[in-house]
Amino acid sequence: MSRRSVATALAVVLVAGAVALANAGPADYVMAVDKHTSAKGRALAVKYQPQLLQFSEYVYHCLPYLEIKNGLGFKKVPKEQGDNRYAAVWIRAEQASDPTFAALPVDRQVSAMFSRYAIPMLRRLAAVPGFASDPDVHGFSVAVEWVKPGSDPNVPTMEILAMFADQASTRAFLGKTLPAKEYMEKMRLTFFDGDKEVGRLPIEVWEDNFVATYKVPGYEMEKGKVCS
Amino acid sequence: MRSKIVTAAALIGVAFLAGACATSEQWGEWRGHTTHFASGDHGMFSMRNNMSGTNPRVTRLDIENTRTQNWWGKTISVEPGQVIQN
Repeated sequence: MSRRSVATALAVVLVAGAVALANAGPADYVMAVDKHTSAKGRALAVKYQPQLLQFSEYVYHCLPYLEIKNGLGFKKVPKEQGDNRYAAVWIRAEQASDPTFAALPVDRQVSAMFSRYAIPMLRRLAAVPGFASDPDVHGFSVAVEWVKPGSDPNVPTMEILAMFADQASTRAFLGKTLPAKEYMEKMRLTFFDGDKEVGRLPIEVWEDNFVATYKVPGYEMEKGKVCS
Repeated sequence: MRSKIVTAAALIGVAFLAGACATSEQWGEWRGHTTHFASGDHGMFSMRNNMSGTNPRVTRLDIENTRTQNWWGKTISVEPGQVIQN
């Protein structure tokens, strides 16, 4: 192979890599339509593509300490019969280790993560235009994952809390007509510790305005973007 | 002439990627400074950021680039399909 060919190949690879890096953005966190495993899911993904992108842009630009994982889309409860579709977001919360948090019992840690991150995500999902009147959007699902306190920093153990709830009870809870305790009892809730499914934990919900108020020091938001 | 264009393209590519790496390092530095926002309304949580008083400016693209390069090589976790089904 000539030197010129090598240089050409190198240039192509480098420029392609640079373009790929430059193009990563909110659209990459929306699950592709064809990855939905049913016609109903795909139809919802097509119908609400602009809303999903808007949701992704909000998380991407306004909550940079969160990362959407496994694609924002319309998903279902694993192994459940039927095809109830939930508007679903899975977020990884990036935070440093904290002795106070680590010292809490697991159910309190999970309650804290739920109150801090899952509730705002639910509120945001419930506000998406069109969902409330769409019978094909059965409900909402939020999964929150974080690094287990004390786990190996080189191979961290992830803890995940996943919830699924129907629209009616979620809206009643957010509208304060359904007590948190009853809402939690109605929803499907599963906690995972690393590669083990733990199941349901007794979770409490409390007010937490972190997502609404916290500003990351030093973070420069892209020009023209507004968080509301 | 053609070889000059190819060389220039290669140099531009290298420069672009070097720039991306530099911003990733800045982001890594930013994240490496651990502090806790453990008081007041923000409770017991924390995020890696300014501890030393210097506070590098970080854009969302810097964060994205670092994540693209995989912050952790591997994590211990369940398969996504156990949590939620597409």
